[in-house]
Amino acid sequence: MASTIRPLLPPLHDSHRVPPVPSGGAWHELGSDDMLQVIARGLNTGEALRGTSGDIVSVPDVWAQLTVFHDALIADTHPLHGRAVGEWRGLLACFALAAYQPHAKLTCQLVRLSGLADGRWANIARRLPPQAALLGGRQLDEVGLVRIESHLVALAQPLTLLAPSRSLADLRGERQLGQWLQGSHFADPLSASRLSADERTVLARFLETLCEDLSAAQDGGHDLSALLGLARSFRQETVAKGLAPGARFEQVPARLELPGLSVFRAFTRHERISLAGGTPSDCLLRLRPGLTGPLRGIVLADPELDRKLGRPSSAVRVWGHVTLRHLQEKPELVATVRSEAQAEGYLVVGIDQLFLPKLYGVDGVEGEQGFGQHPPGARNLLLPLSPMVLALLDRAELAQACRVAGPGSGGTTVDLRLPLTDGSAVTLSKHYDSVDSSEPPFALSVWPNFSAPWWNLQLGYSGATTGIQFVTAGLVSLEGIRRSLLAEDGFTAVSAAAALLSGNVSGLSATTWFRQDRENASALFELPGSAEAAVLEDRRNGGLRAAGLLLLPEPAAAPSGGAGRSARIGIDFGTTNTAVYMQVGTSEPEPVRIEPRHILAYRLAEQSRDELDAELLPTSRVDVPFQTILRDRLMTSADRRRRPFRDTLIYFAQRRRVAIGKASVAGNDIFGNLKWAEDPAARQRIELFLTQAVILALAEAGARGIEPGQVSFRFSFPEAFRPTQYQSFAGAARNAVRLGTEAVAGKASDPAAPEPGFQTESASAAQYFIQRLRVPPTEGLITFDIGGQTTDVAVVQSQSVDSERLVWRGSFQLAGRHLLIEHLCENRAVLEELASKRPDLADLLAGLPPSGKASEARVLATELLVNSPAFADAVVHDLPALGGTPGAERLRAVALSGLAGLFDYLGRTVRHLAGSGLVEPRANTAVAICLGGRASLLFKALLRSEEEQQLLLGFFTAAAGEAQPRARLVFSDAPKQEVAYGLVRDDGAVKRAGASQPLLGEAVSYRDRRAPAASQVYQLELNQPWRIEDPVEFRRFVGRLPELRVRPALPDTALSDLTGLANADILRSLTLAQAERAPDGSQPDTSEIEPPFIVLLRHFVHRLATDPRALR
Amino acid sequence: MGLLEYAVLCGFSLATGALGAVCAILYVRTQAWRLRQDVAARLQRFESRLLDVERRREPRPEIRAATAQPPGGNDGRMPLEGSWQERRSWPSASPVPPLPAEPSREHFTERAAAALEDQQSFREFAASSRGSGFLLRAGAEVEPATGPNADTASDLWIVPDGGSRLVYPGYNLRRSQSALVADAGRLARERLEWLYEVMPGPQLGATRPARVAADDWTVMERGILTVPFRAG
Repeated sequence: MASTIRPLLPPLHDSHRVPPVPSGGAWHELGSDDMLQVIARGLNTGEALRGTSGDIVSVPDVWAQLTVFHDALIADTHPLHGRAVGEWRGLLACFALAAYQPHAKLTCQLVRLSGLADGRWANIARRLPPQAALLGGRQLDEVGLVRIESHLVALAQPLTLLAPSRSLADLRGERQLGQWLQGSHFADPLSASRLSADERTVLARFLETLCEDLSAAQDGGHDLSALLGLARSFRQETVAKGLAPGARFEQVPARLELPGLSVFRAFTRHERISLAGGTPSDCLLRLRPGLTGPLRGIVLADPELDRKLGRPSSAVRVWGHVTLRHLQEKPELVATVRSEAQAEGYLVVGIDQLFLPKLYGVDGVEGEQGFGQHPPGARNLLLPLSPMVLALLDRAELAQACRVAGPGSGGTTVDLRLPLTDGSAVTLSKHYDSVDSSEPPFALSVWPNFSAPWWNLQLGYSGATTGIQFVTAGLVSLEGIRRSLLAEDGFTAVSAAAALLSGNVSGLSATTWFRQDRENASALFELPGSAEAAVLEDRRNGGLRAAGLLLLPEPAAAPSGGAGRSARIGIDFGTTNTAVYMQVGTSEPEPVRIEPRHILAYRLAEQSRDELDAELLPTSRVDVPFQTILRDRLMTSADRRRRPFRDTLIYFAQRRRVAIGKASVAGNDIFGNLKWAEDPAARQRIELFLTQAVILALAEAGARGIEPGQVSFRFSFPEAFRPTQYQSFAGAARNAVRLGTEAVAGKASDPAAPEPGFQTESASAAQYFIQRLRVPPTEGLITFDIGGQTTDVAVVQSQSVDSERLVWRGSFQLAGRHLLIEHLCENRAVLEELASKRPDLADLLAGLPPSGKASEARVLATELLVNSPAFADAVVHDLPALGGTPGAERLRAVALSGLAGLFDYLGRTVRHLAGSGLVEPRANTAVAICLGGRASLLFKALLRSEEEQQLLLGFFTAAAGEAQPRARLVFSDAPKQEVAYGLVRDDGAVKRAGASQPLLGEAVSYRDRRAPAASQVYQLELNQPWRIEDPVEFRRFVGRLPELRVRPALPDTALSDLTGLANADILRSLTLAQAERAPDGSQPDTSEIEPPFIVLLRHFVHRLATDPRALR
Repeated sequence: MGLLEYAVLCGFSLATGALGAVCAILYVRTQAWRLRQDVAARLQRFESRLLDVERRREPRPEIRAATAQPPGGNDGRMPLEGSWQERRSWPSASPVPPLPAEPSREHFTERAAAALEDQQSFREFAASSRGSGFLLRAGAEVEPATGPNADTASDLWIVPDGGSRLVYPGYNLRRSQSALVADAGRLARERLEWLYEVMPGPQLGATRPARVAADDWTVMERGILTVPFRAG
């Protein structure tokens, strides 16, 4: 039995007072005190001599550390044998697993004793070297100084292969040097650390090699046998499963200077198991479908992941060969991991990046009124999460995956369960001691409220009072995330993902801040897909802090359309009103009512809805027609194309009183009369208005499951457009359809998509009366669609069994604005009389500017009033009762004079058509004269009795003569919707007339040449200054007006003035027509010149409307 | 009439005239004193009712500036462009005069505007002002605010003032400020123009309260309300 060896010469304890020896090899005077007592008191004779657990100390030999370690390792009876074996194994593992310790660089520096410079220490080292069995009797000369990083940790030598360095005592706390470095010494890695399967496999392979080499070097000596036994024992205890299928060992380059012995062969070969074919991490979070691309994955670097997954930290690879254990030992290693992962297209996230530092509650959103889409416990909380979580979970999954416990006296804990790519899941938690709070954004909405694979436009608006409410920094959609992560390479994609992780959502949507200052923040967000959450910020007190996610309710899925489900949409872009109709398949056309398709995350106050009305879209249903008014946000930017919603909005004037007040202010930001404005800016506004109308119509079709690609568009236009006006309008309409379709589809439109169709307003209105009101065309019908600026006329007569013939069509600039608006602008008597019976009308009237000349602002405000339901009701119910009052009589005179003049002109036109054989005379049946348009309401009220109707019709029948001696009036039952209906209802049954060929209606002359009243406009030579010399027809017409109880005061001087004004207009239109005529001289589809009679009539009506002396 | 009689008569007339003049002066002075007393009493009543406001909170500098004359004078219109830090800096160039020993209505107005800073400020102001909250409905309809949070959930804050009432903006207006500034202040005008002259300004606040009748909402004097909208 071997005797127990105990260390001698105990060390000094830490608090000793033995003075240092100035220098060795010389005697020194240590003073008069009893130095032996001082030394005796300084000796640590307690633990150091107690037994097996203390350090090996104070052997007065430079080789003492090595020889003592050798003795302890080789002799199993040595009190430090167990520890020595552990240290030996730990040191071997440092070499075996060096490839798995990228953060702890292992080096070895070879020192030759023979090469040491002479000196006392070198001489002693050379003179007293220990005997090494592996040297076969040769003297020890080579020793390797093994370092991890810059720390000397061991000696590589032929006695024990490896022996710990004394300086390990200085490395307490340097835990990152090796996971099996415990305190000041290495320990057996099999017991001190949880090696991964790969590490065990690599370690086993190392030990096998070592055993082979030791076995080869075996000479029967005790030391080698002992070392071999220790190595085999180590190998046996290293239970390794071996290589997994497909895995292989790969060598990591290592340059180590070791003693030149074959047993060190394994030490120079650093190996690890390759990752080829496998995922680079065990911590990959599962991305949502569609997000994989340049961003290849997201790595979760959570130091507690081993506990959460129930796996050893060494078995959780965070990145490559870096395990969670490595990160736990050396947290700063995550920077290296992050960098390497980014190069490969992976983002590394920590738990503190997924959770926000503060938890926010939302004031005023509680209980049943809370966020119903939020998880239980968070109905009045923002989710304190990075928007990146929406790259991992959709909104419904997030609501399921997030759990909130509290708030209570102990604070609030938020759990988030995230799926990993291997199918498992991990729950992350963050505790919040307190909850801050603020109010929600005053207005927050996204539009529309349905989703479909083919619908890719979503708009969001948010407005907040910065000082007291959260501000919406952005909206998150899956498609927005996907697009933000699109990049040329993974590195760039990871940069984008990192921005999203940090809460930067500016790249997820096109965001336009209308306001962003200390007082208010309001913005429009244009998203490429359904918004799932709003990212809110706390900007109170001038700060800016991410506050959390507010999940948005899920939109309803649009019904699946099915093959062949298509729609035709007709847009009647009127001067005052715009009407939109849709025909789905072959069903009856119906008006496109603009539904409030807002998605609201919480209940909004009434004023919040007002804000949405003003800044996004109405929160109540908009019926057709709606006003043709555009609000321009007047944002200046030279480098971008203007877009609807962002730059302009259709001004729906849902709050009529406010709209009237706003329109009354000249020079503001709302624009009417778009249709006839000709400057470039106005033309662009037409396009913007139509584009928004197209998008809204597509939304209504989309809500029914009809894809944008299955929708065709038709637009109406008046013949009164000059050719250039038509071309401009048609171009704007085509662009609007293309831009609108591309906006909602999120992609360029199909070049093969059908172009929008165009139809004259007159023909479209005729369709309405024939198809909807079933006016029989066999006896003929003449439709008057009285709009804001033009009256469009069509003459239809059936002359065959299968179709109706559109014999003639035309349009004249004598309509609502001339017959009603101009009069009301300057004369409010009748409005005041009507308002005296109706408070709602009185309220609107109060907003009108004072009477005066018909400026643009005044006309716009008056049109808003006239087109209100209150005015329509008043006209229908109260206007007849006002008969006899000055105001009502004057209005009647203006309106009936204008219509009578048109009847007179059309009567002569029909007579001419009959004379040309285009119309068959109907002597015994009555032609239907159909009145449509908004102004038809007025005539319906003015012409209640059959007698009054016949008096008016007499102007037509008298002028038509034998061609059409009888007529009857038919009123529309959907004023202003006739054209839009006819646009989509048109089934081709009405044959088109060739070109609009209006009569002059009044003779004109030029020098000695004369064009009679019955000649046609197109026959005039445009380069001659034709003028009315003597308005014979007009004088005749005026002479008949008293039959209608209209007694105009029109002395010769006044008539001369009117004629002069009319001639000026005629000359102007001749000049324009000549300038704009097509180079090839082809006939346009619209009128180049207005009939002189109509021009004169318009001036006459204007005089009646505005000159108090014009009536007797 | 003898000379003596004439002299006596003249003397009597003069004495009578002088006495009358003295009486008239005394009467006028008495009336003036009463008027002053009346005014002073009204002012004291006003202050005792209205100005019982703690002075712990300084008014927001912007509000103080809004009620003071901006440097250089820009007819009350504050520059709205630029960062808020820039805007915040200019009031410092116009030092706010210290509160006088006796608070005036002007300072009460400042206090009311400063109370819009946050909910707690307004709650304290409301508690000390002894007023009551009202809600604005469509068509200038007004109804009392009710409920536990009636103070901070009111559009208008009404304070009695003798035979009439003063109308200050309630905290709800601050809450709905983003709507008030939308569409170039259209909604602010729609809802409040019957009470106030609505003007663009740096911050929401009444620089002059409106005055309405004690028993109904007849506007006796329109106030001036600044709203931080950008004029269209």
